Amino acid sequence: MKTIISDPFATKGIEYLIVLGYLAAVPLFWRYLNGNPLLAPSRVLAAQRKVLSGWFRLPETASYHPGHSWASAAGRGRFRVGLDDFAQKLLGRAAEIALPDLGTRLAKGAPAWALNVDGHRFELPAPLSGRVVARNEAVLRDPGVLNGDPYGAGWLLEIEAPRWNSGAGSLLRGGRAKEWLARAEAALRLRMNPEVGAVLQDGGVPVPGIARALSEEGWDDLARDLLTLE
Amino acid sequence: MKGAAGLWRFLLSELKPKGSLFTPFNLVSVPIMIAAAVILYIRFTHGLSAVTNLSQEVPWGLWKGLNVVTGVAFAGGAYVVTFLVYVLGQKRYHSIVRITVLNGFLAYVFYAGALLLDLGRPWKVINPIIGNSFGVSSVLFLVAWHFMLYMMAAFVEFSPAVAEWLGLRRLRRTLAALTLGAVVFGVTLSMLHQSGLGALFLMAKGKIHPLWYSEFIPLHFFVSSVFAGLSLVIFEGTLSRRVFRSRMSEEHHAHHDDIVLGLSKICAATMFAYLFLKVLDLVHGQKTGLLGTPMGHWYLVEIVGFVLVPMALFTEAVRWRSLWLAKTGAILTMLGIVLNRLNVSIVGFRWTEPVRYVPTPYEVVVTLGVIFAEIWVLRWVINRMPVLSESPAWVREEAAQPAIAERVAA
Amino acid sequence: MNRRGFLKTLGLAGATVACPRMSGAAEPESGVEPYGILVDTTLCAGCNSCTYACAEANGLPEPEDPEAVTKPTTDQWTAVKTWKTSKGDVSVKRQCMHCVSPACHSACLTSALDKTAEGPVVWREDKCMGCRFCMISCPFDGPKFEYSSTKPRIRKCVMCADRLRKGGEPACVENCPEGALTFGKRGDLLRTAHKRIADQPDKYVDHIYGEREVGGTSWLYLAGVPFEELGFPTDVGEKPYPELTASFLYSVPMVLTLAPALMLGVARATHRDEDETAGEAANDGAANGGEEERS
Repeated sequence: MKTIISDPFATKGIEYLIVLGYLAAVPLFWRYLNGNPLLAPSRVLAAQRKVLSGWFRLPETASYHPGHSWASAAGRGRFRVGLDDFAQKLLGRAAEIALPDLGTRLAKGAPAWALNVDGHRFELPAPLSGRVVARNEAVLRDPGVLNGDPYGAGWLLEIEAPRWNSGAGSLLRGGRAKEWLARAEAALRLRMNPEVGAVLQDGGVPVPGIARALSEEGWDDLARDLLTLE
Repeated sequence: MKGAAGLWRFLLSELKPKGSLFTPFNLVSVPIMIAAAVILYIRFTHGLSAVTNLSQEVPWGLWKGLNVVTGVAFAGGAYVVTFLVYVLGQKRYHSIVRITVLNGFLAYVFYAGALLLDLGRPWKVINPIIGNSFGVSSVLFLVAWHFMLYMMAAFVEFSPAVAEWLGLRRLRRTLAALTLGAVVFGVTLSMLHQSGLGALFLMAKGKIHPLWYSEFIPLHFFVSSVFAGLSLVIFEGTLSRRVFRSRMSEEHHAHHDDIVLGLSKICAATMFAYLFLKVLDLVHGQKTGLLGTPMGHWYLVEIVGFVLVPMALFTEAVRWRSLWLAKTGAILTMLGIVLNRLNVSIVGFRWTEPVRYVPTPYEVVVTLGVIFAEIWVLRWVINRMPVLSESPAWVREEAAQPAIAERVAA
Repeated sequence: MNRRGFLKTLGLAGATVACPRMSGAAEPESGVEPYGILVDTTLCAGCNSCTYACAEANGLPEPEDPEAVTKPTTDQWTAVKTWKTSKGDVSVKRQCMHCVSPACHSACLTSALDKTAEGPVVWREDKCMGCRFCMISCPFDGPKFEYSSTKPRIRKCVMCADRLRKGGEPACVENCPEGALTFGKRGDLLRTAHKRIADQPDKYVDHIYGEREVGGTSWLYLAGVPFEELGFPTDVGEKPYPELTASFLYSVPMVLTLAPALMLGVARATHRDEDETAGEAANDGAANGGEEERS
């Protein structure tokens, strides 16, 4: 079969077009590959996004620490602090919550309380510095209270913070808090699988906690990773 | 450091098999390897015609086409992964470097070594090496030299594991320092000889069906070696996870999913580019009209069924974080590579001849025997050296020391 | 940056660049113009005298039934095939074409196939390792391989290189009773051939096969019918086959020079990023601690 190409540039024009088409297709393909569809968002992905954004509660009345704890002013230099919705849903119901004794001096960002979940101990940081003046006995008796109402009845401690030096000023609020939570959600979304996504979409929570539902083995590492703990 | 006698006793003890001798794999592979040895004896005592269907029209058959050309493509995982970890600094893949490099090294030893079985006068292979006669204008000369140099580079990359196995601390430190150089060298060599294997067929213009023959064969072979190698890494990873579960370190287990999906992403992107290269090639060579012929249909089976489809599988695997999809994609990709290399070297070679080349059962047995032998050695090494398992404690201690020194100085 | 790896790379790159010309094109040494053979198929009677002469001159077994052998084999280095064409039976003698720029010579990684200055492409037994890459590369199926031997050789017409060196002619040319074979300098033969075509345009097709095919061959053919009808591959083009691999081979030194440099640069850059991030993190930690004290 003879193919005589008399003009060496006969196909040059078409080739340029093909290359241009390819270069246009590359970013589209790349976005699709990375789960950020430009053309036709997959149903599950869109559902996941809807489910996750705005599903972890972030009340405006509180300020947030990147270690997933919150603080809200309780008058007279006191702050009520606790664990945020993201963390409690991620870890699930703890068997036991360990809170510091009254009078303990806490430092912002240093481990303040610990949750024992399924044999794993998670030490979580305090959102601000100060002295412990009250502990939530209800949570100590029944850790499930934390999961039921992390921002209300599930508060953990009351801290008396000095006027300056408490670190309350630099906590995340408003838009910055939303951005921070969005980033945490994105990190979680990367690990999400369709089954858990479906559960969340239905308004449920995986009983053992999201982290455990995502990965039975090594879930504590996953949780630590997502909570940005050491 | 053990004395020489102690070392010898240690090596001998390591020859003893670990685990059961009667696994299904052993029961299949041992008879085949024995049969292969017998066939090779006949081949060397009676000439190639006694066991192969090679002819004057078709001088290269299954041994060159499958063992050498295809086997080396699959060894491509080694250069891609070492590139990712040591040049691009993607630490995520660090836990699979050793197994991949080991695989690459053994693949070259066995499959490029299988070249020797196919040579008419293997004892003369020394000629282009020692300089008795350098045919520098030959692509095969380049390929042969690169194979040898690459084996050395891959061995240097792997040697720290050997040093750890033998407990030689200072040697290990020296070898570890050579790693980046060996990796850079190895990647460069790989780029050239993967494409070189394609370039071997450039002068067979007219003998290879135009859909597979192209002046860009070297580029196509190089690009496809990227996803060929990574697919094998993905596939083998899922296998070793089961077979060598007890030997695998914690780090390995934990990062397995991330690794598989990361590699799948790279495969998907590379295959995307490869498909466009193929389209470009069809247009440039004005070959689109050939797609309607029977050979054209076969070409489409290879490209659509075994490149496009697995690319889609890899893409969805990444988006859904599905290991199952990734594994399926990997298997299809590997089949596609085998298909492509065989199409270029055998199926598409002299496709108009009335009597086509079909390998003899003996050729098939020897091909399988070589593959099984490689797997046996792989298994032996994995079960003894820190490939999948953690390095001995003294390695980590040594690694920590320089960091402490820095902190003290700071 | 690893010194040893860098030096290794430099050395190899340097050596490759310093290597002599790689094209394998056989430019005749000064003063020696290559020979060729003109085959006029219109004169060939199909008697096979050439086949017998070739066997005798090269120590090959005497052909038993040369008319049945239509392609050269390991033991019969030339073969005459009679083709049924539009103008009746035409006999064509085929053998290695001894190309001006042979594919086999450039393919051979041991230089076992050598293009001599006089024209013939000869095979040297002491160098060959039997890889058969020459067979893959040759567009004319020149080299034949002894698959059934334990010390297999490559066998093909050698254009009686020994006789040429002693000033003689190839055996086949000497023994052709019809004068279909003419031996001489390639340039002279081309002139003769063009003259024959010009003198008798009805007898010959206006084409000398081998004049420009694959960059020219030493064996030149005249025919009275189109060459497709005589089994000649007519789609081999005019580019010498070694040039098909030239661009790839010439890119090798570039890659060997650039790739390591680029990769070491990238490795340095990513490594430096890591160092900087680690340094920054350490500094940040210190700064944050300080700030908290103050605020």
